[in-house]
Amino acid sequence: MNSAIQIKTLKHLSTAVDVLHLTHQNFIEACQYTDKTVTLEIEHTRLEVGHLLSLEGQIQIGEKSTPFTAIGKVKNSSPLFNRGSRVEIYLQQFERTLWAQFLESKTQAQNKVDSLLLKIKGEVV
Amino acid sequence: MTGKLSPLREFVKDGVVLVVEPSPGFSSIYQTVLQTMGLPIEQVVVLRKFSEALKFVIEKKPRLIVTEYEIETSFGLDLLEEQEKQYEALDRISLITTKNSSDAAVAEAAEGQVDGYLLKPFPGNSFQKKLVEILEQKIKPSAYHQKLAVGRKLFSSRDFDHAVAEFRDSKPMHSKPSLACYHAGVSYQAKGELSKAVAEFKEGQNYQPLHYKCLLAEFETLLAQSNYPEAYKLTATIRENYPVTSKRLGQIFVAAVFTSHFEELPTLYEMFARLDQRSPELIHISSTALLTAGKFLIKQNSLEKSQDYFNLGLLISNRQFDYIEKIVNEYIRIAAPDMALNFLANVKNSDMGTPAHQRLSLRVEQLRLPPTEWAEKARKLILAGNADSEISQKVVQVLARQGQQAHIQLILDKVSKEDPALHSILEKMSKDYSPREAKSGV
Repeated sequence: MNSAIQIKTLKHLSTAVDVLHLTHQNFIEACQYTDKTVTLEIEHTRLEVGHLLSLEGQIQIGEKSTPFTAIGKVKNSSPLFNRGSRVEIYLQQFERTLWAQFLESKTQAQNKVDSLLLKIKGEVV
Repeated sequence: MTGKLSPLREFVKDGVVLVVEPSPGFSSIYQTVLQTMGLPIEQVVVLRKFSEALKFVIEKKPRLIVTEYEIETSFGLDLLEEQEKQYEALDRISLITTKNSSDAAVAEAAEGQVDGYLLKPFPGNSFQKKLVEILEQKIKPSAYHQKLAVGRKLFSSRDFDHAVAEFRDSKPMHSKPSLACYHAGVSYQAKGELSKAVAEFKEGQNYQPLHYKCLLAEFETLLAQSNYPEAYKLTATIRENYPVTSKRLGQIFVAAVFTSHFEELPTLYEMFARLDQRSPELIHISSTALLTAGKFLIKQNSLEKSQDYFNLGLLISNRQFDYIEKIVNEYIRIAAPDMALNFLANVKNSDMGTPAHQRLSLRVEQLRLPPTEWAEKARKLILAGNADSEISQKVVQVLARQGQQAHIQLILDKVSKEDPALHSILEKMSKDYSPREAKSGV
């Protein structure tokens, strides 16, 4: 079962303005992550490096969803063709145990996929 | 251009890399990584629509494709299948990136010879790491894999004897040369030497028990030999140890039906329902299997149970009229009008009232209505031009027995213009089936 990071609100910490403007869906999903960062694709908004943000959403590990909140700072921001941006947010305050569980579940899921792929392709695992 | 080219650039040469990804966020990640790996941005093409991507693959033949598992309502694997026709395994790279982590999806991808399957979202550098890892295998394959590649090329050019020799020679190069056995077996298969093929597949499983390709190839060879009992025995091993793909499930349905294991079909249906990808071929095979099972149960007089199987088949066929018609005809054949009506009620709104629907309803009503009432309905259908030869003949028989010559004449007038051959048959019937009194003029 795959895991995901779903963000429902992403607010400027200073102004409390939500930059997500969600209309078609209730959340956006993270594209990438590291042990201390999460990368999001944000439509219609350009965020600058150094902006402080508060994130709210949930982390899905298999069937289980757990609320997730964090405060972070924009580490990288690159414009996208749809007038949005891909932002990498460095997480400063977040639930570390939950995050560790997420990282572990992702590693396990990918290892399982790699192993199955090799097996079916006929390579020795 | 001076200086040493990056390994990726050397692999891609002057060609292009295709990225098929609806999300701008992900596609920009791939573009950035590909650039970092030394590929000029103009050699990377990002497309978001399946039709455009398929056209691109056919025309531009990209050596490297990064694609989502599902694009709109189509599958990235279909793009990779096209790429597989263009290049040998060592000359192409395919990578699927997706949220879909189901075993069946991974198995479909692996059977399609996908090089990598990356789950979204992924850790920061894993896309690059995966690409580098695949590139290494393609650029610097082991002596064993090089030998297999030579054999596969010979196989592609239909030089099966030399291909077998290459695969045989490659066996000592690996401690568990199951893949060499698999390829040798496939070459024997192509030569029509099926028992030698099976021997190779079994040898492959000796080196590596439950070797997927060898196991599957043995199963397929048994099916090709119409050895359904042995093939069916293998399905249990396959299902216990591996996820079942769309193609495989179709074959299991076939093996189950040919060995009369109809009791397995509801379980196979559940597996069908869980699949991400259901090919038209699988839909056809599985719905036909359930239809066959239903017919078998009717013959066994298990009418209630037959309905369960037909209902599952109906779901798979998406209530296709042709499918419903086959079921209804089965119940008409055994004069079970209530059951026939149950299934007739499943006709989609769009098929309701069509000539085919009217004819089928009339056939069911023949079992329920008094002959006079039925004949009147049938006569109207004929005059409206919506009946077929079978109904026309039946109604003429009924009307002739009742001495309704005026009604018959109207039918004959109608048919004479449209179908002179049928007109002759009906005319003869109207005489043959007339009451003796009418014939003798009493």
